[in-house]
Amino acid sequence: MKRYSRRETLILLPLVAVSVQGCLGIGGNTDNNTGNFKTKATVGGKEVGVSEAAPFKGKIYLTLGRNLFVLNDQLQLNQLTKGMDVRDPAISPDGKQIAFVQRFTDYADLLVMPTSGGKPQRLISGNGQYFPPVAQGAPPNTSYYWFGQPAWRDNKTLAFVSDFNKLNTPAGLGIDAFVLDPQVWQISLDNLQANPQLVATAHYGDGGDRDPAFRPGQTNQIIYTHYKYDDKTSTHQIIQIELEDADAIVNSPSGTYRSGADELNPAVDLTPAVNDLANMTPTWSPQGDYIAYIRRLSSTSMGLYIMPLPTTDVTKNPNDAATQQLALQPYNKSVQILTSEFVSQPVWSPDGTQIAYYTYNENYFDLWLVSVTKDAKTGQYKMKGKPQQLTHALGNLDADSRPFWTP
Amino acid sequence: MKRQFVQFNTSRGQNNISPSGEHTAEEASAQAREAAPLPEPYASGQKKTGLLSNYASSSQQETPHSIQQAEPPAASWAIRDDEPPAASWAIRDDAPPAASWAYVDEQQTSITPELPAERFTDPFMRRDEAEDFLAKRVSPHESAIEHSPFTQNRGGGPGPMQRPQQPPPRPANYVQAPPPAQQRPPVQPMRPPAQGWATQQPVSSAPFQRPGPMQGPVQGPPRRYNGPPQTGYMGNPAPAGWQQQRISMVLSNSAAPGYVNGPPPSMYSAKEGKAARKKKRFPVWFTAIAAVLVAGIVVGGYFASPYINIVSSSTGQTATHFDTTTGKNKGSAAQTTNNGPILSKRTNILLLGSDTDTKTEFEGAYLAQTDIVVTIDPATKYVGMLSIPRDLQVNIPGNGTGKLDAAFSFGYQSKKTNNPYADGAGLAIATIEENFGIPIDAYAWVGLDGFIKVINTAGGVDVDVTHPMIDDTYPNDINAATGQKVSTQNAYGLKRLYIAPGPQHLNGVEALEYVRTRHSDLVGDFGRSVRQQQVLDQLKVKLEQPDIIAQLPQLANDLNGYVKTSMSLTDLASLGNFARTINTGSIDRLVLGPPYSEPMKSNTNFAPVCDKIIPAIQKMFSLDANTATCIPQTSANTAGVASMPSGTETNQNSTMTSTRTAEASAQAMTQLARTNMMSMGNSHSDPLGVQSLLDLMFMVVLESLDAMTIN
Repeated sequence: MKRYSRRETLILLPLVAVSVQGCLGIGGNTDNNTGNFKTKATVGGKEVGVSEAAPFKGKIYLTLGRNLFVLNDQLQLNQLTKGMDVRDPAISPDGKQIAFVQRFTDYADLLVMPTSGGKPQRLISGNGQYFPPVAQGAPPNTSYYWFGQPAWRDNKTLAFVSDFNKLNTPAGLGIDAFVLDPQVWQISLDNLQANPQLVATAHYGDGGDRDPAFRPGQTNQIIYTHYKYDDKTSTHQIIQIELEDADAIVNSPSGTYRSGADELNPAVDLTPAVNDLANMTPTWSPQGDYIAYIRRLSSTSMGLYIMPLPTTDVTKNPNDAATQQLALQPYNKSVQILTSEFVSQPVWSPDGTQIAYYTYNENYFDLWLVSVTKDAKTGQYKMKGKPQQLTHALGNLDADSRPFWTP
Repeated sequence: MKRQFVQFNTSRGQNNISPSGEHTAEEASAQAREAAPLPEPYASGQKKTGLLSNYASSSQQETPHSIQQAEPPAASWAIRDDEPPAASWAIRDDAPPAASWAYVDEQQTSITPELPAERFTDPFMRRDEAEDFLAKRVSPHESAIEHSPFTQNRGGGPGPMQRPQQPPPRPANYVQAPPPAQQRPPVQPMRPPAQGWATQQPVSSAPFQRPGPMQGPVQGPPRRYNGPPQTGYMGNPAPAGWQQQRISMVLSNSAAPGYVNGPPPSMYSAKEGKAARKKKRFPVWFTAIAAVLVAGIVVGGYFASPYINIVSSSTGQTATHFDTTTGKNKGSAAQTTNNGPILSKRTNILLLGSDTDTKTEFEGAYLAQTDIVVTIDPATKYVGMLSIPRDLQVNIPGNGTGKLDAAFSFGYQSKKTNNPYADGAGLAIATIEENFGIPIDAYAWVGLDGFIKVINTAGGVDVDVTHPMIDDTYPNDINAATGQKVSTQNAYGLKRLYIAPGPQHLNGVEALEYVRTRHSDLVGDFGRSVRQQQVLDQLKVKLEQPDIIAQLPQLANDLNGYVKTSMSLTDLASLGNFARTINTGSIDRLVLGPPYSEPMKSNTNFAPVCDKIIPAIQKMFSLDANTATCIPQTSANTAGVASMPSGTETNQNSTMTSTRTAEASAQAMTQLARTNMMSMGNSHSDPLGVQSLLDLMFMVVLESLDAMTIN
């Protein structure tokens, strides 16, 4: 048996300690000023670092600790709101206004404020009340509403998701419940007294619509995520990306398109309706000819994909089988850009060279950038270089609030 | 200290210099041990008399280079002049000389040439190593021995200890002790004691008893002392005829009886000898580790004590006995007792989960919304989970018929003992046994509020919300900002939920809302169980983080009062270990939802379909036909089945409450299923809830055992 001297033991013990520390992961990096990250703000007592090694152009709006921030390409991180529980910022096409959502316990409000700062203006409030049950044993109703994910159609028209008018939206035949699932609505800033206009309908029972975004250059088209269960068993979730004429409902005779269990959808499917298949959170390319989106690959894996859009207008006759087939064809040309445990909220850069997204690293959500380039021959996008972590927010990043990228 | 040996005057010249030209003493010794396996006779325990020559010859033949490099012949190696002589004595700083001397010391004590039974004073040197070491120290000197004046004078054969010895500086009170070589046992068989030596016993009057090499009877002639031929004794220049001078010095010392001139100089002083012996028995590193362990135990015990009580109050609970009144097990004891180790045999465990929110607490009882029977066959590693919907109508012993979730509540309120949890669990167990004939060996009850506290302590969870969650009638019994319960006056208040889809971080309250809402998806409790599983999986990840160790006391406190189980900590540990060995995908799951049960017309209960249930539970629980049972309730197509007494049911229907109409048609069948699931919100199976509760129980185990927490 080999014996070790005291000197060797003294040398070995620290090495063993360091090894154990490494194996246990004790002493992980929580310093924002190491490596490429420099602290740019402090939120909730935690530093928010920004990487100097992930260059980008323009401004990225996002929420940290439910406060609105803007990060510019000079790596300045400026706080725009404080203590308002803000989510989902969206910048108007002229770049002058920020629309965002303020959450409360039972409802949400939709507000706008100048991008240069200033007092927010409340566009519509979801405040309401509970009504006593209409009959014994029946649940109470409520006039509280949610508003979320504003999307500018133009500088005067704002779309959003909401359960607005839920009390007047029966779920369907044989069901006296209402459609709580948020649907896509729009309002005109010139006439805030008018009722919001329904833009996209929801399928009863699985969460409705999310992620509305108008097509660049063709703002009469809107894309969104549509949640539903399969019609046969109502047990398999189907999450699709749909493209729709934003005026289809308003231009159709009353009752043509319906919400609820017997929904008649005014949109065409860009992704197939396959049980348990989830394609979601689309974001337009600057030219509006591609979308980047997230596909749920497994319970522990998600992928960022890019697919082209149909070259012909498929929104005019959405319930035509041939049109639907045409709309689904580009899906087969989807290209996976990257994959990770969590990938969400992609947003395409104004110059089209990068995609920002949220992902999960070291138990924290952060904003990452990936450069993409399009093959001139095949027309397919591919990743260029490696993804770069832009923020080191130590848990401050609100991953359920989508970012917005402006020039 | 690293030593550099320089060869000179070698008798085996060609291999005396190490390849590197530099060796530490311990390297040399270690290499020698490793490179020179003992010859067979030595290994088999033959006396050293024949071993020396055997070893010498074999070592030369087999691994001469290694041996001579590692253990240079004493006669041919010396310390450089610039090295302190005393320090250079040790082949290794701490081990070889001490080991060898200590060995001699023990031999002196026993006055026997035999080696110690197991170890030398070096606690980590084996007997064969020591023999090896000694032999190697001796054997290289054989050629020198024959020509040494000492051996010539004594007429003996080759002596065993020929290494030149340079004692350390003597202390002021130093008195010469017998030369160490005199006590070396191998000498005895090799060479008869010199005349007169055997009777000269300097032990009793030796000035130093403790230094091993210096005491004990002299069984043979004094060790031949070659001394450092060049540097001389104590570093002084060696005078001409130094060997003769040394002998004269020994003989001239009269201080020590038994020696003509007192004992030879010691290698160590008495004080050093004590330290050396202690050091050899307990090396510094060993002592340090032991001290750290002891300190860790003391400190750990101090910090663990506050929550050990919490854990102990949660485990080892009893279940009150309730007689069954019907069924094939009428009158049988339906309570859990100490049945020995939980997995020593086929085991059935009842898992109960309650929403321990304000209103149930206000009413003085908890409903058991989750009722799962887990059956484990440790021999075959079969695991089955029977999930019984909370809305299944059953016979509750002593309470008529009612929903299964009321059984725990009735027992809780029965005041049969002063332990409401034991009463609740006991009646729930009796209800399961009476209605299905399934014997229950153990139970675990978990309160949901404890679950959320654990989430908060773990720092929240990160989940991928599968779809938007909307609920207009979520119970407003917890303050979202503080996480505390609201006042009982508002216990039946409502709040609205809208949880955005996608990956996100959820704090404890948000996670509770996510797993608790029943009105946010068509698949009712199935979807709820999926959500629960998500949160539990993520929570498990959080709890596996190393820094969670610091949160253990808080986590234990979070569970205080929210976990009650009849299983012991040992049982839970066994269960946790077992759970890690099985493939969760192979777990046999059975949910007594449709088609094993049917909705009843008169109320929101479900009636069991016994024709399907009995064979299913026979198979899952390996029950014989006379044991498995099922008590039919009033037909699903008839009304009038008694339901749970009013006041104990706290069903919060959603705004999606539906009423089936006469227009229900074939097209409406799908809608019917939807409405059932949505409006009742609690009617369907909870298969993943089974897994969730198992995981929850597993987490309880993790909180109880530190080691398992960081696994």
